[in-house]
Amino acid sequence: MVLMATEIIKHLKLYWKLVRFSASLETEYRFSFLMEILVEILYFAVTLLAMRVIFWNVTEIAGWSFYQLLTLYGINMVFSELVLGLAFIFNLRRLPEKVLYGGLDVILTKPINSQFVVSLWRPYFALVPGVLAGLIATFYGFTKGNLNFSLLNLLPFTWLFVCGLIIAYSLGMIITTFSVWLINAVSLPTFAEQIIFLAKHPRSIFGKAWRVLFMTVVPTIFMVSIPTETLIGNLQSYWLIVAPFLAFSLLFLSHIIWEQSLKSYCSASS
Amino acid sequence: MIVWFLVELLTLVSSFFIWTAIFQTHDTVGAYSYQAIIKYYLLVPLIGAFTSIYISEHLPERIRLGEISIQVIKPYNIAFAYFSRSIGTKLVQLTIKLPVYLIIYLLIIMFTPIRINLFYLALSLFIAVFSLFLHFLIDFCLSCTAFWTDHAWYLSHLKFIMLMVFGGLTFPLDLLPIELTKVFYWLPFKYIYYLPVKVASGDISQIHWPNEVLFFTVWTVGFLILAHILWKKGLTKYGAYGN
Repeated sequence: MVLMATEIIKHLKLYWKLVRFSASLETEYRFSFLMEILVEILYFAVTLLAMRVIFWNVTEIAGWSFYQLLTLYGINMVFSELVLGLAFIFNLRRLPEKVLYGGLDVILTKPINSQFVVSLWRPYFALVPGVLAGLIATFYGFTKGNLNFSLLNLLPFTWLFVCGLIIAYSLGMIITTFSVWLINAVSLPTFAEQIIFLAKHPRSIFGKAWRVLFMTVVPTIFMVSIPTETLIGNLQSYWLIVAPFLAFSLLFLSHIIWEQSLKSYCSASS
Repeated sequence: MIVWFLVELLTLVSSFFIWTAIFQTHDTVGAYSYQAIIKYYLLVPLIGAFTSIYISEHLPERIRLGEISIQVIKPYNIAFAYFSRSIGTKLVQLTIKLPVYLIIYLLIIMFTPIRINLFYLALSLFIAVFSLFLHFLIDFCLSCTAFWTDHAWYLSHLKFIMLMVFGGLTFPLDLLPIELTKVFYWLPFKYIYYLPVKVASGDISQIHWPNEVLFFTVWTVGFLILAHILWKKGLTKYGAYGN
């Protein structure tokens, strides 16, 4: 237990250093950094416009009003920016390339957890304005939609949201790990991202069979929909137990699969 | 290739869930019935297989890094070379994709009431060939801006965003309010997805053909001239140090 805590503290300290290093790296190319921010905001704007276009023609979708969905999309923006920015853009997206060209060799020689290195090494700082835009959309949806904000809902929301992040990270890691076996599978991270993007849909749009699938095998419903429902006051208490169970099971599974994949890895170049 | 196909399928499934939920409480949305909207989203990847082009994902970076020097000194038109290469790649991809689309088409015919008229489909694919050329010109012009900037990775993203909004990739343009539709109709992006998809789905009553042919020609000639100017001017700025 003490050993585990020491390891976690060591990795957290290292991560803080990596965050600082990445920040200085990003701000070195200011124009590029500004364009990264612009592109992120534009993608979010397109998602909102697509939703607005539907609501120009209908009044509700599966029981969700425009402002309730805006809240959901805002939270989803925060969620997907965090998942993509922390785990995907500079990390998991590059894993297939590292496997193909032997870049993984260097990582495996480091005295730190290799899963940590391939998935969380370099955060993407342009996620910050995206997160802010998501928060603004959430706040606007809450205010305009006359939704009741309660501090009592904030705690279970945060708990479920963090579990959702772990679920998304683990799913992304599991799917991308297959690139170690498939070698030239550059599109696997995109596939994982597309699955995570399904999280933006409210739970009620899925039929019963699909809902079971998206709550168990591919638990995208636990990523955004359930935390949002909690925030707007529709908490089901069993979620508070099921979500962490799913999150840590998937995290553990991702670790097992990663370790197994490394047994099949043979260096490409060095 | 299989994974890319799964990515496309997931995008389709995502739209399917949303629209199925909407039509549980509505009979029509805008001018669309449930079958019509599903048909629209099914046809988008099919038309995209013909009209999509990805030059702005590679050429700007090559310009920025000074990697086009060898091509520049050769006695052929670089734009034509890129276009030919894109056509070659597309033909290979279509050889793999078309049997899959055919199977999907047969499954749709057998198990759903959705019908796709083969005459309109052929007509839309004929239009898609011209759309591909226009798309190439837009992509090439966008790529040429890399002569004036140190960073070019975002260009393909900007184009994709344009296509998502103005091209009908994310939603059919006729679901927009009439004032916005009028603005969007003036832009060239609808020729890449929206118009061929509408033709393929047989929904051509609203299409004013003489106007469309005229606008399409004007945009194509405009981008052709712009591509020529940007390339000529860009080459005077081009530098390939150490290459």
